[in-house]
Amino acid sequence: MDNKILEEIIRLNKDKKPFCTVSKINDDNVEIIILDKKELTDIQKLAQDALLKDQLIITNYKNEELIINPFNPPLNIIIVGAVHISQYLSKIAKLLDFDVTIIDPREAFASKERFPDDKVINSWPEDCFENLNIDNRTAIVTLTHEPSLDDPAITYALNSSCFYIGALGSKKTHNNRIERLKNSGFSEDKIKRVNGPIGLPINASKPNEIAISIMSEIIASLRHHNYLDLDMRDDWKLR
Amino acid sequence: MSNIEVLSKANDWINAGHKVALATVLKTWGSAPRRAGSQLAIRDDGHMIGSVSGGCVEGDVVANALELFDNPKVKIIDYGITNDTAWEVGLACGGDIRIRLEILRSNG
Repeated sequence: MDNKILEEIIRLNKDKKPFCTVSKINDDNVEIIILDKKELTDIQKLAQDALLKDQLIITNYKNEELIINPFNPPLNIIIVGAVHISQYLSKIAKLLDFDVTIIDPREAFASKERFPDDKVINSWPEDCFENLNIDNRTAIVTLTHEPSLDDPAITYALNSSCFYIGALGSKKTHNNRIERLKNSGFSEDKIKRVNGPIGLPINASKPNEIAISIMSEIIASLRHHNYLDLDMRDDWKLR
Repeated sequence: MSNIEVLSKANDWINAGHKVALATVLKTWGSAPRRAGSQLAIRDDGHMIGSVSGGCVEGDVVANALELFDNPKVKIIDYGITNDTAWEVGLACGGDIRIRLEILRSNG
């Protein structure tokens, strides 16, 4: 690989473009593959596969062993509620290479003093979610336990391809939430996508501990594509 | 530490006139702390950024890189419990990893 390719890699990532580097196993020439057209070539299909798996693949292509290394744009986390937990969750998410967006219409919460380094959107979820780029590399977390703020965000989340939805609140709060979602037409199966009470049960009690428990659950969802079906999750939740 | 941060730093080092090697995890078997695709950049004075394991083999990868600077080529290195070098380098995790090492070229 030469530094021209390096600079191209850095530029594409800055533009938040997904791409792969491709090289022969014993050759240091590198090509960059971008999925720019609807009709994908064979090599672009392999690149797409690597990007979806988010993992390097080695494949035999035209009798050559090829290394395809995917570079996905950063993961995103959208946090509804500029609350105390969000201050820690944002920091932890950034450590894990997530791009963070915090949404709260209440200016006293979403202040620059509380979130000096964050992208904070000062509006209601229903007014801003449409303009957010929500994809299968996005996690959506609601932390206000105020239905007027959380529910519209959860509704958008359930209609999106985001990989994780979590909602703060006790079991009772969550059961009430499930009832409201049912009444607004969501099936039970679909509502199961909402992780509530949010986070892995590590007996977290302080805001920073709860942030760790939430982020741990997000990682579990990211790395186990069938996380929602895992028995482990039910066991944990019952404790 | 994402690969992009590793490659950005590698690029900075090249622009500052250093020679830089790049190690990439090609494959892992069994328990290994870093996924395939993970990268480690090594500067010609031994500084490094990123990782290819939990610290088990980085030292040996750096030593290999320093040798490779004088004779740039792609080198594939296997580490694992089935490999003789494992007893010296030691993969505490009990897994096997294959690493590809190359020298980054500077084209001005």
